[in-house]
Amino acid sequence: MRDLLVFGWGLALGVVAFSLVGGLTAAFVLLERKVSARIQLRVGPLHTGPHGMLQTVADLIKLVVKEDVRPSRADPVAFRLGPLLTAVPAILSLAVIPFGGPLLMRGLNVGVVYFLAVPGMTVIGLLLAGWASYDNYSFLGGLRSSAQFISYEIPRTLAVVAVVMLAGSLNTVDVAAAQQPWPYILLLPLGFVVYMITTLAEVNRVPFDIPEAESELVAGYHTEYSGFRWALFFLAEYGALFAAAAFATLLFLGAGSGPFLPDIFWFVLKTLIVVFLFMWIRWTLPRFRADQLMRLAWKVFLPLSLVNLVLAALVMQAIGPR
Amino acid sequence: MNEPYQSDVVFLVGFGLAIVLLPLVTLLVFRWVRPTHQGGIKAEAYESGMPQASVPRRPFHMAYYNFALVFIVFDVETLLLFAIAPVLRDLGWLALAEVGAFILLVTAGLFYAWRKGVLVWR
Amino acid sequence: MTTATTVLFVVFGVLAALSALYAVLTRYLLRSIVALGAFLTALAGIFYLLAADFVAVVQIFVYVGGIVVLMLFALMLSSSGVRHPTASSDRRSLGSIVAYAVGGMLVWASLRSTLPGMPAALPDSVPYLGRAFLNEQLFPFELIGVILLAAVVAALALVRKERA
Repeated sequence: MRDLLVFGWGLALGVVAFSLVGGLTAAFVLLERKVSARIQLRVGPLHTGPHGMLQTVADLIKLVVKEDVRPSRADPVAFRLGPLLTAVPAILSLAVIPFGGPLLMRGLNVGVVYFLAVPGMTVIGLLLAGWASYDNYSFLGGLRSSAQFISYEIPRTLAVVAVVMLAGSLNTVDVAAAQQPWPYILLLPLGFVVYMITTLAEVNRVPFDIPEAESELVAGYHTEYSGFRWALFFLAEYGALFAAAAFATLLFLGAGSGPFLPDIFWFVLKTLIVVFLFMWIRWTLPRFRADQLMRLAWKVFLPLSLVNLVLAALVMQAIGPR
Repeated sequence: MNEPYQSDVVFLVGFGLAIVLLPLVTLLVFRWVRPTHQGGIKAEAYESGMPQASVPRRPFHMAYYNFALVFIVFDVETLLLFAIAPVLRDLGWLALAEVGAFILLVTAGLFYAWRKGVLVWR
Repeated sequence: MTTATTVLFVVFGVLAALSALYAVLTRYLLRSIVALGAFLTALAGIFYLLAADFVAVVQIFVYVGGIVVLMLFALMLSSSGVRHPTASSDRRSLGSIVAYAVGGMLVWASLRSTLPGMPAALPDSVPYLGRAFLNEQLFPFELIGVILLAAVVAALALVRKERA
């Protein structure tokens, strides 16, 4: 009986998480276009609704009623699986983010590793989508994004290990609680920088958007997709962006702690600030080349993350055991 | 902690089921709305307006494979560190030295791959 | 185990068995690899139900996010074809003999062994694991480091030979 309740609660939160990501994607796309327009001295969407506010809503309606085109030589099974395997893990990772309030989710005793492990399945989706499309652009895009993903995953994971060393738990709720007086951005500034930059690479954003470099690869792995399947890639991208920003809030920015207002307010506010930071970077910096990208991952960020581990060990000794 | 760990699985399965089913249902429902005129030139792969000159089914750039190999080794290393990291703070310098030795061993692997030029994109 | 977890155990078990069968029986290499990924994920669910939560996420992290990806890379970079290469018939019969022998041994062993019952709730397994690695299991732990080092060297040697 109790299990049934837990199951229903999981189901309900799953629906909430999916709708949240859907709504946020619409909001983020609009925000992104407005931010980029502002940075590049343009105006951005303006005509649908007041200040163009309804533009992405209109886009969304267009996407679900648009034809689902599949190239005749594409592998039908892999072509259908690709977008699903990309979008589902990205949203699934939200299951361990303790937003607070009714969205407390689950800490899990291994929540931190869960958050890093589950999005790893996205790589399979990208490879399948790119390969199934039977298109050179898609194929190259799929390979590039997955190679980039796995290369940046190592330094990113090591940056998270440093946080776990200080927090003394893999449970995401405990990690949040452990930062009560000092958020870890103050104790591990290098770790924060490594986490943020490698995360940019993991969610394929400029300056790390080589897989989707429009001038070289059209749209990378989702070149051949249209309609709702294409929208799933978009959901995956912004879902992963949101999840990664929430994880940064959890690990480095003291999670939901803040004066007066409830946890969930501070948590979401901090997450949105991180999202804005990601967008700002995207529209400020030029794109790296494929070889620079890989060199950066293995020869700069991996050593840096090892240095960060040593720093974390020193900090740990300085503040003593719990 | 007062809940049995199995309820975590029950929760995750519910959560996952919702997230897998929702896109499938959306796809199914809008099937009746969206047009389906498959075939013709539209079903050709996009090659910037040209007919497809070559197909992506041929041997390609081994460098990707090398990176994947090195990745798996470091993947295993970082996961072992995850098992140790939570207790490290309560243990002393000795434990730290033990972990340090482990990390040094794996870093030697990184150094080797570096010197052999595997980490260079070509 | 409660009713719900028993149901989940059966569901994961059936999923694992079906995807494993599909991985073996399908003639498409790519689908075979994807089915292997599904099998490994279902296995992770079983691990989690058996209180090995850390092993479960490691399973996803290393096998699904690592090994399966490596296999996909190998397929996509090397082959022009999608199908399994067909083996010669005597190699196939030799293979099936070995497979049946190993399978029979596993069935025999699992029928003979008595498994301990599951405790209702376990303490958090990760600190236990970490302490074990740094105390009584220190030697195996450092040995893993040596093996990983050897793995890098060996893998790169293989790759370089192929290029030369």
